Amino acid sequence: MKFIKKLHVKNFKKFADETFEFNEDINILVGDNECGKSSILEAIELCLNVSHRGRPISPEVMAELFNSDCVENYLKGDKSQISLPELLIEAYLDGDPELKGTNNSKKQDTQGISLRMLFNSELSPYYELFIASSEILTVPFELYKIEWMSFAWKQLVQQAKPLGCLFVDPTRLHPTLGRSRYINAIINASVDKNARPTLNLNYRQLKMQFNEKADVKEINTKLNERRELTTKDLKIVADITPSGSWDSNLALTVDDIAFSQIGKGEQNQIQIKVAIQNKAKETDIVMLEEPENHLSHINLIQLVSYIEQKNAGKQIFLTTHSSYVLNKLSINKLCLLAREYVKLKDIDANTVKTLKRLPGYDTLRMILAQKVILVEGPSDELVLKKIYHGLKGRLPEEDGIDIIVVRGIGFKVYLDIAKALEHPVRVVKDNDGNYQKNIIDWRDEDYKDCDFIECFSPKDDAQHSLEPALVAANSKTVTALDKLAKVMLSAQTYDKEYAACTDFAAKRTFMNGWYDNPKKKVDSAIRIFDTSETISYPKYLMRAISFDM
Amino acid sequence: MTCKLLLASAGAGKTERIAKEALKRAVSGYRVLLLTYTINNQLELVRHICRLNKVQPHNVSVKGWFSFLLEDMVRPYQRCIVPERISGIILNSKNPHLCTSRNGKRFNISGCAEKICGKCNPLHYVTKEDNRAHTYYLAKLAANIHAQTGGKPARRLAEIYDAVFIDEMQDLVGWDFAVIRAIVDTGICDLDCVGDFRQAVYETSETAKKPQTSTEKLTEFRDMGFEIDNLSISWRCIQSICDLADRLHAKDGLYEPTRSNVTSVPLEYADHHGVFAVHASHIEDYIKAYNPMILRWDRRTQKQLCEGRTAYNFGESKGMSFERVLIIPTDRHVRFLSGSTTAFDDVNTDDSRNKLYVGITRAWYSVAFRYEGGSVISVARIWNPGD
Repeated sequence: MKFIKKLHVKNFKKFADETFEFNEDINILVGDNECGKSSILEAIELCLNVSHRGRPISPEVMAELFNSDCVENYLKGDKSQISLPELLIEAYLDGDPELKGTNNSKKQDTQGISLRMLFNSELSPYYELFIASSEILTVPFELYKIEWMSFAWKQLVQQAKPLGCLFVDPTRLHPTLGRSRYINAIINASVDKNARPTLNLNYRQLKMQFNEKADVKEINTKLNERRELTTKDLKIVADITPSGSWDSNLALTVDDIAFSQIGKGEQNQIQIKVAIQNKAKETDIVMLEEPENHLSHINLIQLVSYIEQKNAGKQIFLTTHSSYVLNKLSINKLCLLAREYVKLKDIDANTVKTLKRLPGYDTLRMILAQKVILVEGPSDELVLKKIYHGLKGRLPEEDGIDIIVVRGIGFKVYLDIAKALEHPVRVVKDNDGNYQKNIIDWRDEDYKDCDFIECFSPKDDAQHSLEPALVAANSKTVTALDKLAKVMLSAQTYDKEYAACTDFAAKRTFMNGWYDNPKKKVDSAIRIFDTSETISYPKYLMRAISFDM
Repeated sequence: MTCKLLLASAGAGKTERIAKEALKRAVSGYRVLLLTYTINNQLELVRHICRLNKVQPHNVSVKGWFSFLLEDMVRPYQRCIVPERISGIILNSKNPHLCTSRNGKRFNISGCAEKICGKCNPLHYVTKEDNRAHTYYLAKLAANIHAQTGGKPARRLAEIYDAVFIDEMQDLVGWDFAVIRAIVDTGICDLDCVGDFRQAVYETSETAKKPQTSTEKLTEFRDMGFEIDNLSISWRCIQSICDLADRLHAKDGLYEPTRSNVTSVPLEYADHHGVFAVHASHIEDYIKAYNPMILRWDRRTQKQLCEGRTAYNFGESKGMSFERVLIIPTDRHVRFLSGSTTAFDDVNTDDSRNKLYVGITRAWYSVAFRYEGGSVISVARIWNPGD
């Protein structure tokens, strides 16, 4: 099996000089918009196919591919021939010893392919004319050449690509084209090599049979009966000129409906499945761009399990914004593009398993958020939001602070991921009546040296969860407590049961005892969130939501 | 791994044998590399494979010796000696660093020494203008890269191929043997060398690097641990032609007598088969009567006779065969043919002797020698018009 171990790119799109390491089976590329996920797929396509999203590389295409900083540096510089920028993509591979050699930028003795776009020094007379002319606004890519070689410094040719790579990009599907060239490319790549001539031969024979049909012959005879049109023999025949090969005349149908007429979601699924189940040996690498596009959740589930089962023997790269895709295909195949490139590997096997079984959790949200607070329940979320809004006049998400309710699977799964990625994360957690055991010891057990995981919880064991902490924060005076009670309790409860408490101590006891029922908790939190009254908040919450250090 | 050297006489069907052997291994999943010196022989190998198997299997590669050296033994690790990618090769017939001045003095072109100040000099191996490798030094470059990288090129080769066959091994010389030794040393893939020193007429380079002569080469093969085997049959030449050809190298004591496997001569050739001598004055009649292929030393030989007719130089004719052959012998050849046992003793190379061997063994049924004046060719029947 052939696969990419490592990709090194220089002056390509947003990457000035980066190296990405990959898994030999599945690679799930995630990252914020504009972080370069698709660029990585494009770089792979360029290096293995010498094409960019199916297009051959022209000077116009090159202009899109070069890193804008390197172009700018050139334009600001002395514009000497040696200052012309060069683009380099190197794929470090395994599975084909013929590609082995030390001719790569890292001078490693390894298999690989390199693609360079650089100035063609044979054209320096033209470059001389170019810089002598008027103002220079761009790099003269027209004077560039492409060098495509193995690490053994053997020139590679399109007809005998060392690795087959298929880029499934649903956005390239054009709704109005009956047979898009793109569909053809996929069919070409997935139908066995020998099937092509067979299809072509049969198609040609079919056209010849058409000419021999009795009905057709009769029509042709009538056409010539009176020789009114011409004195020569006129005939209606099927076109058997070479231009009419099968792939330009045959069309795909799904349940007898033309491919272009079926829904986009279905089209998307079929393309991906065709690409993956591809039995032809020629495809080693399949790249999928956001497979979740146009798919309902149920269809996505089907598609992902298809990918999971049928990918054997191929290396898969996919970009996604869906936690479901990530969790289901196994979170340890994650390749994160953030400030730097991180490949998730050392993650607890149980966490991987848990997420495969329960893929509905928003792991991706946590991974991508710069500032993230994990909380136990929706009441914590609401109160934190309220605090932030009170301070800033905006909700935390507007400032890129993401509050995630961990729900059933608890903190562990999220924190294991954060730990493996060294991703900063804040945890707001109840002490459940024992701060030492449930906060200090709990944190030390699994996350002792993880400074990037911060815990927030009341130190007082009596404040075992959010509500007692709120009560404690508003117990300076009986007036303050009354105010809190009025906000948190329903009008009925406040008027009857709370009012029935005679003194300060009884009121506190009532408030602390009221919240054994989780339903009541959420109702109160919603009331706090909606109120225009000013109440006091526990210190640990204030610290948890404050990011302006 | 095994290393075998097969000494096959002309017409023994060694190309066929290699093709069969290669296919046998290809079927069992081996990746096979077939190497040979001439383009003609590359085509011949492919033709034999396709005759047996219709197509050349994907796991059988056929390469010329220079492309092999360049693509597999040089380029992958060339940067330790030549930093810029070698763009191709330049065929040298003689040492490219030697120049002859107008007064006939030979001198070395400066800047082309192997080492300058103790460092490897790329210009010893490649051209200054376009970075092409001199074929004269290509094997030396390969051997030196192999040594400098601690054997990487051969190890890479062993990762790609399970078996390597070298056909026409007699054409390899000097530094080429360092490359063979490099492959042998990795000890990973099977290496089969096949050829016939008696047919050595090309040499890949003309360096003074040993081995040069057949005896030296054979010693070198033995030294590398090759098992040596003989294949002394001919599917081409009739026995009388084999016997004549065998006489050329009988003195060396290296070869078994060649046994002809041609059991019958087809009717249309039956009236005239064996070895003949044709006097210069009867040549035109002879050609008219039997239409033989004319074989000669070089283009300058008997220009008038060859004018307007197909004729091959001995060297060129290698790998070909013809029903009838007419040889225009050199003076040295005539001496040998007249019975002299010392005719080739005063030359350093085997060139002349080997060319005659190649010439004679091209023929299926008849070989005729042109002779002039009194020199009568002892082994041949004299042909007269009307015979």
